[in-house]
Amino acid sequence: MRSAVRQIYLIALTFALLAGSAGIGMADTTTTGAATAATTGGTAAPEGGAATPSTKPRSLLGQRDATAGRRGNGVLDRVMVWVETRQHELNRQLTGSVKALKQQGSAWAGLVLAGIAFLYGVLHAAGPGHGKAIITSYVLADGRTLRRGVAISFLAGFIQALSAIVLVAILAIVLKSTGLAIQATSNRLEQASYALIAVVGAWLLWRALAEAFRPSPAAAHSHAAGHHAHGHDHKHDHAQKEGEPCDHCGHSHLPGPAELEGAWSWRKALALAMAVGVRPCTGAIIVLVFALGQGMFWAGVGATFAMALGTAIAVSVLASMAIGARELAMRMTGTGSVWAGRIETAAGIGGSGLVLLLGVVLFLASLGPARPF
Amino acid sequence: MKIDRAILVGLLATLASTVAVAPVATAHPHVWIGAATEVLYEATGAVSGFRHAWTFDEGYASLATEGLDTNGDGKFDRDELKPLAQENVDSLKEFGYFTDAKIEGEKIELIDPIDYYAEYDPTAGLSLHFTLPLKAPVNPGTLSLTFAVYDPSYFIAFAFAGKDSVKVAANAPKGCTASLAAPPAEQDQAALDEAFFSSAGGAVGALHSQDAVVICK
Repeated sequence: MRSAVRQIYLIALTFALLAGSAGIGMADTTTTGAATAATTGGTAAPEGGAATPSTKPRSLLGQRDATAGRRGNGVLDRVMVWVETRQHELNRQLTGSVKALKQQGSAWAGLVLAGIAFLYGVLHAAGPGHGKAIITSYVLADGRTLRRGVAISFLAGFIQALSAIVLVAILAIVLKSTGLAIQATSNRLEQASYALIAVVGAWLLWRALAEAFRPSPAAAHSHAAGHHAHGHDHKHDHAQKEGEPCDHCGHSHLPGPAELEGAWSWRKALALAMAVGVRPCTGAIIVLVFALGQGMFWAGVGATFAMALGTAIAVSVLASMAIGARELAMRMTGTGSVWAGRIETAAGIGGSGLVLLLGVVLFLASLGPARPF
Repeated sequence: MKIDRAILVGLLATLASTVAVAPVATAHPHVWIGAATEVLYEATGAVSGFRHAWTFDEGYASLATEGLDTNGDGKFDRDELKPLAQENVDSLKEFGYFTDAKIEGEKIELIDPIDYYAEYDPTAGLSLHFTLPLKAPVNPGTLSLTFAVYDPSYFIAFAFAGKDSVKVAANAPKGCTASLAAPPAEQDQAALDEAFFSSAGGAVGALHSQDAVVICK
């Protein structure tokens, strides 16, 4: 009786994990999704357009909205207005502090700029974009350790900062392009990023499915007894020879030494960080171009890195929550137990699937018309 | 029993974090625009269109004008900003010009902008000006005509710039006035929730939009 209750909890928890990532994820698609919507709506005014935001993002969007609506008795709206007001203020202070730094040239003014850029980054990570949903989904699928979740968040943030700096340096400084050209190139990079995310997601999913459905001799006997407490962190001793099927593991993983799988996992993380980071952030581009206009490009570069740091920390927190929830679910069921294995498999497939889904949805949405501003 | 409770806590924590993050995540503008709109009339007293003046925030303005000072005099004249205005007006079409006009809740059709230009003023900043004609001029009579300017995706945060930012043209029929409705935060929450759902979810921008009302006595 008790185990039945527990299983229901576990199934619910796994769904909550996936829904959680989807919820965060779909917030990502709102911006671009509505853009596509406006295309399908043709010349109809905004509302008419938004009423048809394709079937793909809609089904999951509805889920998020339902959640939002339930707590929407004034509090939600006030929070949203608060965040918006802060963002507007920070946006103004960001340009203001670049100017202040130009006038004063003091270290203090530089610190103020860095601090504001950092806050802007944190607050921005609370919004869509920045691969937050993708990274969260990824660590859900392949997180394994907190450190890796944090590392991939920082790596993606760093690449994203570089992307904006290189874009502005080449287009605005070297080629003397117009702002319109910079925005157009940024849009191309965004599309490329989403396509890459979809590719990485497909790869992750394929591997997760291959692992889940790999015929394993272990399936033949029961593990409910939990006779060996081997976690998912592969600290257990691999006594068997390379390539020899692991015949005592509750859940399957790649054959071969643990070191090899570790390397593969890093390769996955790097591929994903690259895919996410290729897309420069609009906020960073704006501060870079503004600083350039003030003859202070280096200040823009510093602000961009401060912004990336803020974003990376905020994304790390989200990624850690996903890892923590997964860990908790697995530990509760007893490390190494059948249910822990099932949760890991479900999280692996679900998380990878989400990366793929987000990549595809975001890519399709990005094919919509270019935004005027 | 202890284990089950821990699982429940984990479940609740996950749900709570999701619920906390997801809605906040939607408020995320990158461009801020202060809008001012004049309602235009034909000699017959029918509303013929809207004259928009949109002023951009300083950060976005610097990006938009980057590389456009072609003669290098440190100023942007209208000719230099022409490609920008053209591109903006062209791409606005796909977004319904971010203008939502209604008579008694019935949508009014708008057509391509005319008389457009971008302007850069050292103090006021960059602004885009254009006239948005109605497909068919309409005489609202005593019916209320409302309009709002917003980006449903909320990438652009539009706001009417103060009380005097909406007005009727000088040739408007006598007794016609334009004014702003109560700002969204002061509106009835039930109406806001309804707007949230009826505007198909993604249209967060609608939540932040403020209606302007034209009434003729």
